[in-house]
Amino acid sequence: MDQDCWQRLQAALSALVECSRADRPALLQRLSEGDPAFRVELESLLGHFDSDPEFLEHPLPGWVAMPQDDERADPLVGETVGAWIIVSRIDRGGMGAVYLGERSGGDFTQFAAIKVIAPGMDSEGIISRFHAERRILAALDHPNIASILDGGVTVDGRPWFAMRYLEGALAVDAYCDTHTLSLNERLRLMIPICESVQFAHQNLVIHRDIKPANILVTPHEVPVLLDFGIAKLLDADGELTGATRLFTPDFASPEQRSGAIVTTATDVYQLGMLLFQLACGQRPPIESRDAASPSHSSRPSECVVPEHARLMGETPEGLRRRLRGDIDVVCQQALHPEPQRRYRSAEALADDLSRILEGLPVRARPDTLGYRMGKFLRRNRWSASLAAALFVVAIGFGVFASLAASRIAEQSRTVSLERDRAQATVDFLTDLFTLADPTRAEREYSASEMLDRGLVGLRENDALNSSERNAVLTAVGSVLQVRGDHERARDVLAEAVDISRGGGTGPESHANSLLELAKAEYRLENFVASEQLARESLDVLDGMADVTPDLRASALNQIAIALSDQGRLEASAAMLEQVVEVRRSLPGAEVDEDLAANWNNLGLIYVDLGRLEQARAAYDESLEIVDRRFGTQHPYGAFLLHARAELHEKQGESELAMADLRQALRIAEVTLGEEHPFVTQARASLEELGGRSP
Amino acid sequence: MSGHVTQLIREARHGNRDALDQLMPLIHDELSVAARRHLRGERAGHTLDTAALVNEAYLRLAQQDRAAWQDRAHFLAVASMIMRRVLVNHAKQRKRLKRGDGAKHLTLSHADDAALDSSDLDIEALDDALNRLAEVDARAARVVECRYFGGLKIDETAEALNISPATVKRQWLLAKTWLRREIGPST
Repeated sequence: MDQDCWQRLQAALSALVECSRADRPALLQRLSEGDPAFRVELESLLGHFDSDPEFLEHPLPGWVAMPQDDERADPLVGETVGAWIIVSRIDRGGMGAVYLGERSGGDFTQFAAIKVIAPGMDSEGIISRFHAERRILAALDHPNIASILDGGVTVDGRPWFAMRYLEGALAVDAYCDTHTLSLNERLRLMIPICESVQFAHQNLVIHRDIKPANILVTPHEVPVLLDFGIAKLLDADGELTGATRLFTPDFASPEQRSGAIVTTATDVYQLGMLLFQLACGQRPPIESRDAASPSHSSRPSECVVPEHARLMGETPEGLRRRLRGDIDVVCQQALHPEPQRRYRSAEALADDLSRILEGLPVRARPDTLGYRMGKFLRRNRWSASLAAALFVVAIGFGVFASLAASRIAEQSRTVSLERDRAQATVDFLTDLFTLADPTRAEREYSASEMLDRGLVGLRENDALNSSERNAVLTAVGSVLQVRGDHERARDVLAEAVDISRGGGTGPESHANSLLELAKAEYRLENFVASEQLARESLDVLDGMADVTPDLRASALNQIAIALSDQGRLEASAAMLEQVVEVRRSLPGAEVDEDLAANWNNLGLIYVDLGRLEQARAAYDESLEIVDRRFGTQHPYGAFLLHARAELHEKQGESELAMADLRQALRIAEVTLGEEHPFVTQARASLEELGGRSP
Repeated sequence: MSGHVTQLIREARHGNRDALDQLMPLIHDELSVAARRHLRGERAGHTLDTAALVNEAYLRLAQQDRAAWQDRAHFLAVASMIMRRVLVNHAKQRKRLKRGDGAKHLTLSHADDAALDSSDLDIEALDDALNRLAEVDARAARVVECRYFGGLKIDETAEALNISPATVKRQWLLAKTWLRREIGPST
């Protein structure tokens, strides 16, 4: 078999496996049209796949933990409880031990985790409560809950429960660390956990003992909650006290510790604890937990464990920065000492986590003002200190998702040459954003659901050719970037680049896909990768006879900002000088906001290089364009004046600096409002400067 | 990661067998250390997750090198190659031991013999088939190495081999199906 045939088979087999059985014959027919040998090969492979779809899906375990000696001495190993034979002991804790149980029938073998309660507990009460609640517990049929399969009493009178056994699973904290999951991946993992708790609450079951050891994650990254309802069975009326009280002290909510009534809010609290720990590496300090209101030390950003940050691929300071704001607020709301002030439900917590992942403002509200504006700024990447703001990103991405479709249409106009290609993109996105499903009319789709559906639609839609697929993937990738989901954007864009690298599109589309991917990598702070992709894009463009100059400038600019983030300032400046050259020669340069951004960026870098005169010239250029484009009363102008003021001050011209600052402040007060952090910052700068000058 | 190891990994990745031979004991030691650490901390009787071990071994080697992402990708690919070798050698030795010849020297100190025994899969046959697959499409064979022997997920495999996750998915599906056919029905 040759390479081409292998490639063809790959695509065909994927399509066949993914399509519904009913559609297979037709698809098979189409894929192997006029090539009977290919059809025979495909049918043979398909048969082998169907006969054993799980083949090789479970990696061979290289090592296995050997049973420890005292476990061999455990008298229960080898015994029978109910229909189960105890194979080995998995774990042992204060409340009892967990065993691996095996049950065989005629032609099946089933495994279960068997929890045997320690002697000395109220066995009779436990068993009678188990019988009373059996139906409710059995109804907890949810993929993320290991429901109780069976239960009874051992020969020596100890209660036992059998639950689904999860092979190769790790406790959620260990899983996150050994797989070095990023912050977003951890947040994503929290969502099904919250949802399964919500499901249990709707079935009137409260967990009461949610902690990492009770949440296992399978090798396929499915989190599963254990021990639902067990705490209640063991302690029906919450009457146990002191040492026998059945919660894990370190995870207990204030109401559990004080012996007050336990509600679903208790589970929300414990989910908050879990989130806190997964985010920063430790639980909140004890003293913060009983305070009347959330305190400083109940913020995960204040509790970052440096080693933990590194496991997540972040520096400690980087992680602190990412937790500050939304994740702090969400944890404080979930961990509020007063149950009624926490999230109303586990679902509401899950909802805010999804919002964070989508780059939307969370619903939990901190007690500070100006939150939404702050979020807006972050999404636009104007840095909070503003002096260092990279203009370019703000302009390219300063659009809301609802505007994305028109932006993409515009982009396609610039980029694409064929009308139908742009049309396919726009049609697809219009479908995506106006998507309505009459059967689910009662609720709105979140934008991310729409994107998901759109992507599924794309994979099912054979009518698109590779150039159209590339266009749609690139467009969706851009939307995902606008929404702040850079990891998914990267995946989608990588797929687009896969197609264009394989020659599925014209060179300009290829260059554009590469450039979008470079932007996504930049957002993920993979500056080297971003630079390489942008350079690849530039190479493609430079190999073309007729290239859209604007796209070439964008590629140069992307290389420049990726270089500056790597600290390669000289190279970055040289690259930006080229960008400016290109853009200046284009029609409409005098009002080109991209050019204004380039000048601004160049100015910032000149400052860092100590080339102050050049910096001043660059700021002046930028300011002129901004004034022409937006008028003299625009925040961009204020930001630039602030930057120029700093420069004047560096050059010892305090008078000029004061004048610029005053003007910046005047503009900002009007256009941004009193509460805006920029206004605060500008006032502080002015005071500092005024205090220093005679 | 020390410069020497990084260099070896780079060479191994480009097919230098000597480099791979030199790396074998090094990385295998790290994997063993990681496994032993898990043995102390983990619940007895649990199967250790190969991918977790590989990751941990990497972390130990990389120590806190911030710019290690590229190296991590290389490492994952090479560790998968090594896991393949280790497991195949182990299967061969066990076969010899069962026949009564060969030295009593196991490559894996804590090999999951039970899992190897209970698995229907003939590791040697898989290894041979995988060599044949490499002649058809070398990259497909690498994907199988990462996924099955290295226990890597789709996106980790993509990172390790520097191809897109979508490509990994397609390669993986065809490669494993093709191998299934090569090896024949399980016994």
